Amino acid sequence: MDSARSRPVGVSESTLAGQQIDLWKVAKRCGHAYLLPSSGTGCWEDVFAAIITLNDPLRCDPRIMDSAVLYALYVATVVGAIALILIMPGAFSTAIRRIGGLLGAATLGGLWLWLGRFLPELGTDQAPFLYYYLFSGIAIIAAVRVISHTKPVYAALWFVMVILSSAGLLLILQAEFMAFALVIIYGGAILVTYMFVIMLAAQAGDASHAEDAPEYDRVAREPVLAVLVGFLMMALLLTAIHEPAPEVPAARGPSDMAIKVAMLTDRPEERAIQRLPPEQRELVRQTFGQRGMAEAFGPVIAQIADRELQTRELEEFQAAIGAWVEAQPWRDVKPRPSTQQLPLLVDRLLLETIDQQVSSIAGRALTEEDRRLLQQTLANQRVLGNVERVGFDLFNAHPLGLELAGVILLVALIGAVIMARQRVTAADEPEQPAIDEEVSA
Amino acid sequence: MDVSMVKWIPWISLLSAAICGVLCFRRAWGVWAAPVTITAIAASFVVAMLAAPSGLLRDDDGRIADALGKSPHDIGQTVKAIDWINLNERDALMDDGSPPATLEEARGLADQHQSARIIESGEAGYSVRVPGLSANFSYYIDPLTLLMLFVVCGIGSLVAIYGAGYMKGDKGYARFFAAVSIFIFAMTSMVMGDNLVLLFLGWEMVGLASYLLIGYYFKKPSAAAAARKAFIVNRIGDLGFALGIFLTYMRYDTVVISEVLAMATSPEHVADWRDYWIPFLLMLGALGKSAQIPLYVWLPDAMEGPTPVSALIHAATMVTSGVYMIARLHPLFENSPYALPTVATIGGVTAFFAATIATSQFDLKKIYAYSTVSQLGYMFLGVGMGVRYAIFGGLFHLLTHAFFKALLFLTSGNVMHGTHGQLDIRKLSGLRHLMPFTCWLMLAGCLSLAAFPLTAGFFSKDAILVGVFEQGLAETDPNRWYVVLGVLGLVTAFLTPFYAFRAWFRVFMGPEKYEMGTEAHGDEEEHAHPSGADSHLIDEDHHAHDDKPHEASWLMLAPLFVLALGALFVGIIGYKPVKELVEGSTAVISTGKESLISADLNLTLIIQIASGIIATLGILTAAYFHWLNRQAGQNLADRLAGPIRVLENKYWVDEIYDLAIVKPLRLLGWIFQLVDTLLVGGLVKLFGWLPRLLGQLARPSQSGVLHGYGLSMLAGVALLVLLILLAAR
Amino acid sequence: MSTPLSGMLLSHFLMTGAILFGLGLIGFVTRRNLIIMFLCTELMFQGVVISLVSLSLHHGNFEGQTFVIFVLTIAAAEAALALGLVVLLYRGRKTLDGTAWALLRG
Repeated sequence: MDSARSRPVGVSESTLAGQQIDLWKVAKRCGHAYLLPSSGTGCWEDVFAAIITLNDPLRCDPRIMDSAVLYALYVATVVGAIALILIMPGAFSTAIRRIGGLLGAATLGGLWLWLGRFLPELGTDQAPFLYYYLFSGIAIIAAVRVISHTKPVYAALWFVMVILSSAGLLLILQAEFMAFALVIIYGGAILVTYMFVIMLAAQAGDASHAEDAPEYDRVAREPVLAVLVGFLMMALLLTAIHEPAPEVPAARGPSDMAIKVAMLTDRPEERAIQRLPPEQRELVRQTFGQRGMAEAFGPVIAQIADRELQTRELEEFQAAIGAWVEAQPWRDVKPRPSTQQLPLLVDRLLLETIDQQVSSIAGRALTEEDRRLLQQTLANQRVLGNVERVGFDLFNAHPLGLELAGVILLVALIGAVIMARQRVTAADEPEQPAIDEEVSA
Repeated sequence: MDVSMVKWIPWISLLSAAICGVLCFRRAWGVWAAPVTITAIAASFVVAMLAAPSGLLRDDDGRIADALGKSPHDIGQTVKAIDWINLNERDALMDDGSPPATLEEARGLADQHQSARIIESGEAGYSVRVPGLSANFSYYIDPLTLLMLFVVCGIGSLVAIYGAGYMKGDKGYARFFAAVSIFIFAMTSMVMGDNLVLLFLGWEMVGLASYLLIGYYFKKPSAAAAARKAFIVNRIGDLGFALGIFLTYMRYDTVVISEVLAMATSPEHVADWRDYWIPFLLMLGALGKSAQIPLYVWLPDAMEGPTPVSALIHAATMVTSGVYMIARLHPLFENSPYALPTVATIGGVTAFFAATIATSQFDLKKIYAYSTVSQLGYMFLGVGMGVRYAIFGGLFHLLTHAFFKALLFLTSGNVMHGTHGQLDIRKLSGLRHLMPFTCWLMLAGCLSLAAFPLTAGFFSKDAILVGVFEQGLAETDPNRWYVVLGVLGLVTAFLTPFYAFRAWFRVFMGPEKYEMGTEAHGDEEEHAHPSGADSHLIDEDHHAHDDKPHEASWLMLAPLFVLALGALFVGIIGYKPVKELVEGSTAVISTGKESLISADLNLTLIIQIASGIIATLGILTAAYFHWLNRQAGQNLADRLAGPIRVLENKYWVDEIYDLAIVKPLRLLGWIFQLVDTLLVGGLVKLFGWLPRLLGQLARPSQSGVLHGYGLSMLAGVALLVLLILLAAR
Repeated sequence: MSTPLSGMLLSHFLMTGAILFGLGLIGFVTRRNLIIMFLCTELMFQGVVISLVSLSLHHGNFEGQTFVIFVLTIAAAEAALALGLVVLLYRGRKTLDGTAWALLRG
């Protein structure tokens, strides 16, 4: 490992040596490393100190083996399958279905307790976990009701419940825009359509008279087989999820085209970014935003230095940032600095460089006020919130896909209109007696 | 005219065929088919007669040089028209087996081969690349080719002119001439072809033209059957021919005739088993095409075609192509000790055999058909000899026969035309006043056929017989079998005038008596009842649909006069030129000049006198029984009822063939069909049933319900995920 | 800045997504009401959406969230067309039973 390259720019060797090796040792041992933000002292030593060496508490906790989690999941799957078979309409009486419901709820609760039993020991903020278990549980229970309710209207209403709880899950996942889009589009538009169709087609009966529901609603088709196969599928998916991640392939160099594009621009940091491996490139680009660093920081530096800046100074500033990108001080955090903690690290490491450059331009040590100003500028560089970034990504990376989606919607609209005008006559129906004859023959 | 012009000869006719093909589309256009075809054939004739002689090798005194011992490359010229097949390129070597050293040598070497190209190669100097299998549209012009072109194009033009009158008003006028043009194209390609493949191509194409023209009245079942029969019988022969060509290529590594002959006649050539078999295979083709025993049965039936076709194809030209082929490849036949005797024997026996049948037939055209078979037998007898005089006789007879037999057929066509299809000589008598020109024209033909002294047939037939006896009475190593054949030839020479004049006396002499036929001229009914719209196409003598035989139009008579002159005088005029031609051709490269019998025996004179007497006797016999005293003829016939019945039924050969070949084949076919239906068909059905059975078993899985399919898909995906997980471990 | 997923497991969210997806599948093949069948496909979409968004967060980019928009697009189009189809079929046979249409029956 080339320690000289991996070292953050501007950090003296003596301050780094001891801790870094320890942390990397821990990270390597576990195979995964998550970076957690520190309490916010703004010092890069704190950042490294905050590295939590355990990415996956269940997996890396010495008391629990992987297979134990899987076995728990398998047990839960089997019991859940039995519960679902009991719940599915048509096969059993209401009482047994209720017992099945209880069994299913117990299974889910047991599983949740089993999975969450180490949370207190981890000592991190538990609110997201609690919300996760809550919303997830609601979503699963509602989904079971969707597929087991004999009345379409209620199924649709339970489906609204699924949507609401998954929107909650999306909120936990910091996808605010998606959460609300889901509620509006699904809960608002699509489900209303469903309601209309249900009303048009199925004259939903009174809830108190379950027997009024038509036979095809009351009796499920081959529930046992379907549930078994479905839960087999589910178990397989869960196994796959808990498989160890495959080795990350060696980072590929930039494509020739990327280099050409970078050459066309005269921004050193852009050229350096183009030469990065793809994931890191994405990360740094998000940090740097769309404007060049010199343009963004120019006025601030001038304010700090309290004079007009020369072009040469700005170029040097830019070149230093390019060199920083080239050096990639975060690069050796293994295996892949892929979570949203990394941007924070990048920000901090970058600020170090910027501080140094600015202080050399200004010819004096920076005050706390100056640092705040620079931090603010850097934060402004990456101004985007969730909605903006989704929009940015959408229009930046998938403009054609977006257009196609619009076309699909238009076509669907026209198709729905045309279909609504069609009339299926009885003549189109197959002759049922003929089939019967064949069967008897 | 330069000799290279001959390469246009076949293509003129092909162009004519194409034009006639276009003219088929409108009936009104059809009238132009005749002028086009006549012009084309006549143009071919003119080109041939002007261009070809300039390419022949001549002595210092301007005569055509004798071919004995010469290379085929010298006595003939090769004219290349189109590249066709050139495969398996290899290096050509000089005569001493070394590659050419200088450019001059290389050029000289390249000139000796077709499609050769000279390559400059580093150290060796030059190499000449020649195709190992070369079969191009290139034409070999030697005296024999010239003779054949004269016959084909000359007789062809005359018959085409006659046909213009004879076929007038027929619905398929343009179709007829298109086929005739195709025939001329094929026949000229065949006689000019410089390689066996082109020869075979022409050979097959004349077969096609013959098939098309025999079946010209394809609505008549008998015509269609006759066309099929001709085609099938010829295929038997052609299979042999094709095998012969393959074997020739195996033996000589080339199919170019001049090269094959050069190798076959070279002194170093040592005959092996292939040389023994090649001529027999080739002979099979000749037997089929020239209607010799045992493959002669198609020719009498071929008379179902229009009479000009009978005259041109089935008397004058196509059927002689077997004779031409044997003459052309004569050195190959000489390489096998048994080939030529076989040819001669078949020819002699066929001549006699067919003549006997001809004596008892009543249909005029049938008589001439068997006569043709018989005369072709004579030609085979001639070219089947190893002596020059006989070969000359055979080819000379080919020429004279073309004249008189074409004349006879065409005059019989006149009779048919005049009597609305009546050809039965029992029902016609004393027509000489009604059809005077036809009567005397046919007399000329009959005299020539009968070999009456000084007519054309006299000279040619005598040349054959002299050659046969020369071989049979040779001083050294005589072969007495040839004497037997010669005597057989003399007997046939008695039968020939008898049947020829039997027909003539019956039809034209005696009391005037006739029964009109039922057809316009035996061909197409529609002809007799021309609709108003077409009436302008019909000659007035067709219109005069009275019940009297009438003379043919001048358009039809004019060419007959030319033919009659030929039939009478070509023997005297053509004797020397044809002898010169034949002796300058490849047929006699390896056949010695010297006479085989002692000089004091004037065989020619003896034979001529004997044959003249025999011919006269035959004519007199016929005159007595069929003109002067028909009652006596009838009495004699009654007394000989048994043999005559045999002859009338043509020895039951057709029936025997039917019993011996057709019936067993049909039985075999029936058995095969049974096997096919039960065994093969059963297997096929079984294989058809198996999937159906499987389908029936698998059928319940296709419930048609969406859920079922969804469930299966889900299970499948689950299985796949499982596999992927297991594989990832 | 607090990060909710900090100690949390990606696998948890994927698990939820998988369970929703599996339940949707089971519903699709067991329920005979056409409308509920299509509701179940929407359920499967929900599972996919949760997986996509959690992976998006895991990778630190927004590709996953972007794709959710496309998923929503398809879901909307499907709802329009499929429900139109359901209405059409219902008009033809006066029933919503999915097993009533068995034209592919062997």
